[in-house]
Amino acid sequence: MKDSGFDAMMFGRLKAGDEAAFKCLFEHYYVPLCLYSVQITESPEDSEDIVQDFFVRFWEKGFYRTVDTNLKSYLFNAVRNLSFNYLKKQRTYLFEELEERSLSLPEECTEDDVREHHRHLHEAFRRLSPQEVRVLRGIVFEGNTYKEVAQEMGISVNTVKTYLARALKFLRMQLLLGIIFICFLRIFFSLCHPFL
Amino acid sequence: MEEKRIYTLFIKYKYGRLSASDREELRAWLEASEANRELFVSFLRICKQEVQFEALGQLEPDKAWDACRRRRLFRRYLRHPLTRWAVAAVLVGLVCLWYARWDTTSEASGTSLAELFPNHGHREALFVSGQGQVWSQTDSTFVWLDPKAPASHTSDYRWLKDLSSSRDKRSNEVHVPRGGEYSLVLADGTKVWLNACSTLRFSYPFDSLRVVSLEGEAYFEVAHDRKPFEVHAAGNVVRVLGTKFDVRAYAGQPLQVTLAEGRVQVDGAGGDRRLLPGEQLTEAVGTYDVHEVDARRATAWTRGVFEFDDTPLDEIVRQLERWYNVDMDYASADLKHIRFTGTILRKESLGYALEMIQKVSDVCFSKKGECVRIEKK
Repeated sequence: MKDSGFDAMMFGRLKAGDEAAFKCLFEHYYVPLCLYSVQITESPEDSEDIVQDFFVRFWEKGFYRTVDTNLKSYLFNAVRNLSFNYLKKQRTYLFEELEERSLSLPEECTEDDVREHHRHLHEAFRRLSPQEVRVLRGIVFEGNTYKEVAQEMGISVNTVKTYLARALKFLRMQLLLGIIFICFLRIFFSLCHPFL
Repeated sequence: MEEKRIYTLFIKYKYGRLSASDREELRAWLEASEANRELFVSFLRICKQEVQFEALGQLEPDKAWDACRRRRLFRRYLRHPLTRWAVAAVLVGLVCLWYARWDTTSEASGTSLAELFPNHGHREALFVSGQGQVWSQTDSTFVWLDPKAPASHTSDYRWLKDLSSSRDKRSNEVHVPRGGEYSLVLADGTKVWLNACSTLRFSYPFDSLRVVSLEGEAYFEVAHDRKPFEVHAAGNVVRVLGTKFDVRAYAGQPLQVTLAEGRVQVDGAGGDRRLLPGEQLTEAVGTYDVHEVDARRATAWTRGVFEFDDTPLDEIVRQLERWYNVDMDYASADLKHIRFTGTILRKESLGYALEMIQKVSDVCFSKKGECVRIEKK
């Protein structure tokens, strides 16, 4: 069900204090709200806590009575503010404005969207050859020199440079992102299981 | 700024390792142009998408609603000033008890799982005939039950109270509780093996069509007959003409049909699909997924054996919970995805089965109240 239709249906019943409607609302928005929050907190457990706490207060303190017609914006804004508050208590927060710019929109926080983004990104990596990946790992993730990687792979330094250039060029074409690939790869290798 | 330096700063930022001078360098670079800022934002965007994907595997939405309800109850009780004192008192009490326990259990620390969990599954079923007669049958006992007598309303059979007197006189039911299994032969010669937590309903005699309905899991060896045989399970119909197959239709799990011999056709919300021997059908949203499997392995339970082949722990736990009539809970959700291959005899105790699993993996079990707690070693 599209969110706007769902919201319209929920809205009236919520205002009347219908608890079954509240449960329905919860089930519809729980995962997207957690996924939205986790972009900020980077901790699924803490995001789940934040979203659950919010829903409990939303119901018990009767915020559903004062809510405007745009239920979805209200929910996502509230969770976003709570998540940022949580984050600020954890550490000093630099470049706030740029971080906010990079957030996925609420519409993009469904389970399907998240899986699709991941799949699309990794499809590109999968199309590299094993040598190209090894060179990327060696130079970028492990921070080795060209010479060290060349020795490890039993090839010349020039060949290493060629592989690296090809891999980066391919990724740039696929993802249209320039330098970021290199940085992303380091995160990618550290966050996920290496795919080789 | 040189490429290598830029990405080094990005990564340091992500890991929180920016020094004061690094921070200034990055800030200056970002202020220099919109293109620079765009690059940084793109980088941050990808990092966030990966975090979201990682999180997907760790969220527990099914437990969320209950967790919310617990929070609400907790907050309500905590608001009352007397409750706060009561809670404090209980905590102090618990701490004392905990220390007392420590003394007595330190000697018994060598208690093995086999001793902690002697639970066994066994042959047991409850029959309800069309005439309204009820009896329970195990390996060693045969007991008539009066549905109206409170004594027969054990936790498994509480629904007996509501048994209506105006029943279809030909309809019969066999109920296998948690911790039980049963095999029987129907009037047409069809053999049925029922797994724990299952119910089979059939009419006697059969009409022009042999129809049974199933909740839970059963393995059928259908006797050849001109009349087709149908199994109704979870809104699907499995049609056969003389064949051997397993139907798994537990609440909360997708329907699964595994064909050992012969032919079956499955009809339901997923469309209709004919299976060949060695094929296993699983109900997905609006469709049926079919894979080839080792049918003998899938039906090993009828021969007294659990056979796990790269099976994820959460499926193993479900099967153990039903056969040994026990509840198990996880210290963390990612344990559910650990996979196992191996064989365990069903006649062994729960403790024995857990010890086997513990031996070959990073998982360990302990007793928490009446439940089994699953943790990483």
